[in-house]
Amino acid sequence: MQISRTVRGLGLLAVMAAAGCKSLDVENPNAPDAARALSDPDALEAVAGGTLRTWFNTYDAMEGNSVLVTQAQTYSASWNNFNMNFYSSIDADGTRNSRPWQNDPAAAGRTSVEAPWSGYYSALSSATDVLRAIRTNGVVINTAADTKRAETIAVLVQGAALAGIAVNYDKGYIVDETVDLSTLAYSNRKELRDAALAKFNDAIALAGANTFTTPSAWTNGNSYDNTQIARIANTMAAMLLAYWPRNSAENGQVNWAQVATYAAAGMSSGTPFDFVFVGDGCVAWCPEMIVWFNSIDTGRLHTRVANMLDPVTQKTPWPLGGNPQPNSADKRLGDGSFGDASMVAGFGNVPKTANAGTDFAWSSQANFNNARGTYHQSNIGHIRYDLSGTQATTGIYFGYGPAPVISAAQSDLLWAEALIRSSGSLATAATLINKTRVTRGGLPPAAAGDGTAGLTAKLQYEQELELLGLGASPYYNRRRVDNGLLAGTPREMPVPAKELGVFGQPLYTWGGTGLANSPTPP
Amino acid sequence: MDRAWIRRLLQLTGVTVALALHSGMAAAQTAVFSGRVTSLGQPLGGATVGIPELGVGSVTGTDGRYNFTVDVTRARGRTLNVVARYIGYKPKTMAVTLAAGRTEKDFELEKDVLNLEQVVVTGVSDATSQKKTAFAVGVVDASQLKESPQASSPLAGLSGRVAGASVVTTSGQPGTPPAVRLRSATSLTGRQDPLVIVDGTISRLSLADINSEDIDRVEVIKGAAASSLYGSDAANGVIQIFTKRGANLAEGQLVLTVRNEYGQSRIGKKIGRNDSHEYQLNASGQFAYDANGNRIPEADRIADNRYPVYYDQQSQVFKPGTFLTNYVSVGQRRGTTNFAASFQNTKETGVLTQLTGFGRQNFRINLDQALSDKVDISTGAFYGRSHADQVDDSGLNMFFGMRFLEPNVRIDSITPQGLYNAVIKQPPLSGNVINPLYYLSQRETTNERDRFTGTFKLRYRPTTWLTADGNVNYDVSNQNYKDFEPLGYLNSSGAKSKGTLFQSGTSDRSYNTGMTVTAVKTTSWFTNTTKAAWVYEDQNTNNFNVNASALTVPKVPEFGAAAQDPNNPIIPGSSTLPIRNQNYFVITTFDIKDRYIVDGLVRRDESSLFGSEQRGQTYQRFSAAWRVSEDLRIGGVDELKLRASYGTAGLRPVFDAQYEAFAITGGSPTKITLGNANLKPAFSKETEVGFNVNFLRDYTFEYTYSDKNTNDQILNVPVSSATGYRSQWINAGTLSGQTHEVAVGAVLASKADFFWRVNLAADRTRQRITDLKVAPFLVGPNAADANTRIFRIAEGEPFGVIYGSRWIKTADQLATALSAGKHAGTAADYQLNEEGFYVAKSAYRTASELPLKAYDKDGNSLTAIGDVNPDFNLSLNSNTTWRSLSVSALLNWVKGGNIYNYTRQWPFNEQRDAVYDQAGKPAAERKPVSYYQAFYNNFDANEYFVEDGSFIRLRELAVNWQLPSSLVRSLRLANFTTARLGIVGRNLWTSTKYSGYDPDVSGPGGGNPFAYRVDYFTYPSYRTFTVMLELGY
Repeated sequence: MQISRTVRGLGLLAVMAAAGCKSLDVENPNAPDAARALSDPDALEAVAGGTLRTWFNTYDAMEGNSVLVTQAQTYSASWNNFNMNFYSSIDADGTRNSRPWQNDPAAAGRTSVEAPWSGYYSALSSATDVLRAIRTNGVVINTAADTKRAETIAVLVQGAALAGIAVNYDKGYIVDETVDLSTLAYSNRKELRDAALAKFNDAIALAGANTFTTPSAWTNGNSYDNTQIARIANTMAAMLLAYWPRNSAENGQVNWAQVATYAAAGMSSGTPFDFVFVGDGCVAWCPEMIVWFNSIDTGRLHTRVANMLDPVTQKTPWPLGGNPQPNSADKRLGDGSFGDASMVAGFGNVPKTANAGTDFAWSSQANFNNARGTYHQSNIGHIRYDLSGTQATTGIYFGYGPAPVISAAQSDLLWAEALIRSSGSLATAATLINKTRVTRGGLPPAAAGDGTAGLTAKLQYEQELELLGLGASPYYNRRRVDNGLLAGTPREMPVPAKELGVFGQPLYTWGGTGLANSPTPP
Repeated sequence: MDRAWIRRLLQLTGVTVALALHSGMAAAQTAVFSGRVTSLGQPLGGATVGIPELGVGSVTGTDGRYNFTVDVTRARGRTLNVVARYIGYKPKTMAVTLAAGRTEKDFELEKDVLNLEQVVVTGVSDATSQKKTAFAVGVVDASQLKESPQASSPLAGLSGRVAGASVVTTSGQPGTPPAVRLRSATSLTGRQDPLVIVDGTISRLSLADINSEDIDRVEVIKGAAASSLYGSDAANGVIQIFTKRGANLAEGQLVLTVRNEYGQSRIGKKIGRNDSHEYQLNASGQFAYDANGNRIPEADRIADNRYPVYYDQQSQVFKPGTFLTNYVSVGQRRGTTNFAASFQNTKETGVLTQLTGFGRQNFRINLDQALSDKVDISTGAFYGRSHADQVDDSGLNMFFGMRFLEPNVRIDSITPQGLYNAVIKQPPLSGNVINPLYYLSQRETTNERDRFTGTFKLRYRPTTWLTADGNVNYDVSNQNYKDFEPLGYLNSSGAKSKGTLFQSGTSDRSYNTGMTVTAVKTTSWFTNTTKAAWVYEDQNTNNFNVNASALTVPKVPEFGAAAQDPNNPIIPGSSTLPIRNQNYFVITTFDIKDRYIVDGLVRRDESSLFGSEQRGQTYQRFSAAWRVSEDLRIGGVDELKLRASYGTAGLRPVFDAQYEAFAITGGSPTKITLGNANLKPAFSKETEVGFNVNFLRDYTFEYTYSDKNTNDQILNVPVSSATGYRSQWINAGTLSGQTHEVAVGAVLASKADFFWRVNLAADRTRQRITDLKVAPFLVGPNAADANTRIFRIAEGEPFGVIYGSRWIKTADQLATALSAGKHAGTAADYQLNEEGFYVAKSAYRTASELPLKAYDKDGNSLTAIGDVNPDFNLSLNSNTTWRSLSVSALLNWVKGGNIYNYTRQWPFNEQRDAVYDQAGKPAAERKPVSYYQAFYNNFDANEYFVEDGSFIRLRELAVNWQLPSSLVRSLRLANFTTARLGIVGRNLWTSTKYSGYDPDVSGPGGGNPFAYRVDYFTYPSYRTFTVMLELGY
């Protein structure tokens, strides 16, 4: 009897205790899954806007791009953050001219080829999710116009992401809302280029056929109307075609007339504008290339480019002890003065004078000791986007404020190049070059009479100086077609080892003593 | 000693006595047992005397006397055993035949100096003598912990006392608990922490909140072969902590103890530095400068010139600090009630100047109450609060920046504003350099915690063979972390910060409740104990944080001072982590003829952390022990036990592993993790075999071999980027580990006035990745820190292998590299230099001399360059008592195992390492700075920075003098009757070739210092030396 009471009592307690227990099916309260992120129209619209941010954070990321710009000997850095020093260094073993991409899961240098790949595919995947919801599942975001706005941006980003892969990698996946991921296969870089171009054309058409203005939150500050989006797509298409070739031979095959057509309809037509994002200190929006290379004590101009600005004072390579204060005819450098007296101890600057440059500053100091390699050193820093003018945290130095990623000038210079290379109007090309050469640089104007060679030289001067800070493509991709890269420098990236490992595919790489890039696809 | 058994005896005694007094039962029907329990003639208060078969007994008073009554008819004619027990003494048993009337029996107990009779409860069905456990159970009790209680955590006391237990200081920051690993690793990428249970509370919160003085004992089981009872969170082993209660006191006894300890902390050693440079000096011994104001290197590039002035910056930053603890405890036992209460105050400033360090106040009370002869309750409450004035040592912090100081940099100069001078960068130093004094004086990092733990346990015994327990344990912690950089804070270049303010509040609330039914069946030849249980756990962690990256006014560390700047928005964040588990188990143990022990269990765990398609997992254990010496008499052998156990246990995934997840960044969702509804806990299978032998009365020897395989490793692996996701958590590998453990105990002297006991514990572990279903990959101590990701996970490789490049040091290496075409010429073009590296003959002893990187025949330079796993760990613990003087010492020896020294490699880049200093060398052997610069290797891992992590450490030393009672009386110390005076040293002496501050390193994040021995700018461990006075009555 006592036992049965005990059992009953224990049973009652057990039932009460069990009744107090909560379900083991716990929904993640911290992050949405696909159902929550992609089904709600408002959330879907946020995904669409977010594709721009993901693309921006990839296009302007130091990982990958910083190596390209130091390989191009445009910027220089003695720091090895993001493997910059490693890939542009004369190593202790004397292998400077034979360093391929370290496409090995055990190599520290692998991250340089991983980051652009995963970044562009992240943007591409999100854009594809948006388009699948809109085009396949018929999701309507608020209104038809809002839906078209999201659709247009998603298509634009599909093009931009595929362009990023096409320009930088030997092969990749073409992913869009019509592709079944279970049957993934690589496409060659030409197919990727063509797919990207098709997306840009689609975006141009959509933007032309609809009226909208993008929310400022999509770029963390600026809005763009549908005509501007169309012009951005045109400039991106011109960039894709112009920056795609790996060498001079492929460069010769570019349809430069088509480039000119796209560029002419690009961001410098009508009222010129820059495609600008606003940094938030790299919490979510990171103009990282500018953060690093608009800081005198992190990245510097390469002496190759510094020498173009002032051949008299800025010797290349960097002589032991450095180059003296400049006196450049180019107003973008001037006398290299910058900031105020309080900075001198820390930055080695000359306090700003009336002859201070707008884009560049001189520092007496080397960032590191010479033993790290004098080829990493230069006395000229890029300060065009340092809004504070003092390397203080009020400026872009710490990633805050407006940061252009594609400029109207870039479109102009592509247009000019296309005209020169396609035997177009040299006068128009000169006019386009002079927009920055004269107005910003204060240099004698270029003219049709300079001829192709003369105009090309002035064009390249502007490309080298005016497009600094706008991703890597404007210089790395120009240098690779102009044989400006040191021997052994890879001219494209392999599919990252991490991706190859997912499918158990063999590792491979480009550069070093091997081939610099894949053969031109048929 | 089993407290539960004592309580049962106590409660039954009280009830029995009451019944005897009031029921009118005739004296002729009862037997009354009384007597005295002594040891060496001295009374033992608090000993229990009783008849276990009948559940009757009593506790001795301070005079050692006991008295209990039993109904004669309950014996049913059997011969019964009267057993006397006392903690730390061997129990004594006398057979009796119950007869009405009074029986006087005295017991003289002998000290159990080798702890052979120790009773454990962890992992077993019920309280079990160590003689009968079928697997190794480590025990550290208060007598071992009390000599030098560890302020950081009671787990620090396990070091060197439990074979197979590795204890590593993850940061010297005061108030930081150590990391503990038991035997080999179970997780390739996760933590190795054992499950910790404190008085029944499953505790996942900081053990730094608990003070060692409150600990009665710690029990340790080390792997699945023993820990299956604890299921899916127990593959790393289980540590059970029991705090002190009043149950062990003598009847009627009131005990008061006041302990005060005060002393100093000091840094163990400083890091060597380069006191020379390569630059030209002018006639007055000052640096010569070029037209740009830069120093001018000498042509030979040899750092052998003296600086104009020297400062010892490390001595200005590391200062002796204060170590203080005050502890008061009071306990009493009276009738059916006993309690123990304590208060502890600790203050540990650490060794950094300007910081006040860690302070903590703890209150604890444990209360046991018998409600009837069948029901008793045990309750406990703990409240602790702590405040830490910290320095951030999680990344590139002050410890990082001070490693870049040239010896001529003065850090204590004061600006006109009354601040330390921050702008100390002197080219060619990079901006990595930080003035540590400015940093410490300007930045504020605080960490405050409140902790409450409540325990409640109800025990009901409806019959002598059945017991039901119900428990509720509640654990809550609130943590407030704040980091403040004031507006205008300067970096070493003079750039002004807008200031930052970050504050994070974390609230953890967890409870576990359960019910247990235990049945004990005793026959003439076996005893069976069977327990069935249900356990429910509910844990919720909430975090809310705010970050302001710009402030409008200086010196206001609150968010009201945050700037309303669109470029610097105030960013809030929050997270909620609800975790629920429901578990059931049944365990049964047969004790056959007191010599054959067979045990088995099954446990079913259900957890919200498992994928939705894998909600439940089952674990089991089978184990057996044979007390050989009960069957076979072997000369000189007092006890020989063979044992074997096989068990399974799990490792739960982290909270968000199973979920498909998008991150919301910049207001938009982005794919991060591909979900996995089939994610299972890792499944650990362990076979443990071993033996215990006690011989020649004074010696014990324990050997254990563990073979552990943990399948279904929970790995976050990449997925194709085409999916848009970065990774997915899957079960994809097996980690295998084998451990040999030896524990030796010896009483070298046991006389009335001289006692000397020595314990030795040693272990050797080998671990290998035997299966990996994904491509090899690199891992490191912090998943977010790519710099330290140098440990390769690959099938067939040992776990803990460091990957990087080597330098050519042998002719074979040279030949291979030449054949691979990685270096020009022939072997004749190269030669060994004075430092053991091959260099180009043409460059030897010139400014161009450089080491050569090694390559394999395929031209690859990446290879295994080190292994963190020690050859063995060995500890020696000595306790000596001579009259009123006692000395205890604990020596740790870690032999072998590599450390990767980033704390050396990073500043190597800027020539701050002592190896650059050529001043003391013969002129011909001096190397240029560019020679050493090559080893920096772009900060990529290479063998130059792989160091031997061996060390021998005097971890604890305590010398105590028990003051004569006459002296205590004459000193008139209030009413205190006992007094102990002592000195205590912790980490007093370390012998190591390791060049860093200390060989206890954990890398950034500190999550797994056993697999990732990486030195990365953390707060170094330090030594303390204190005096102690303990008063009591």
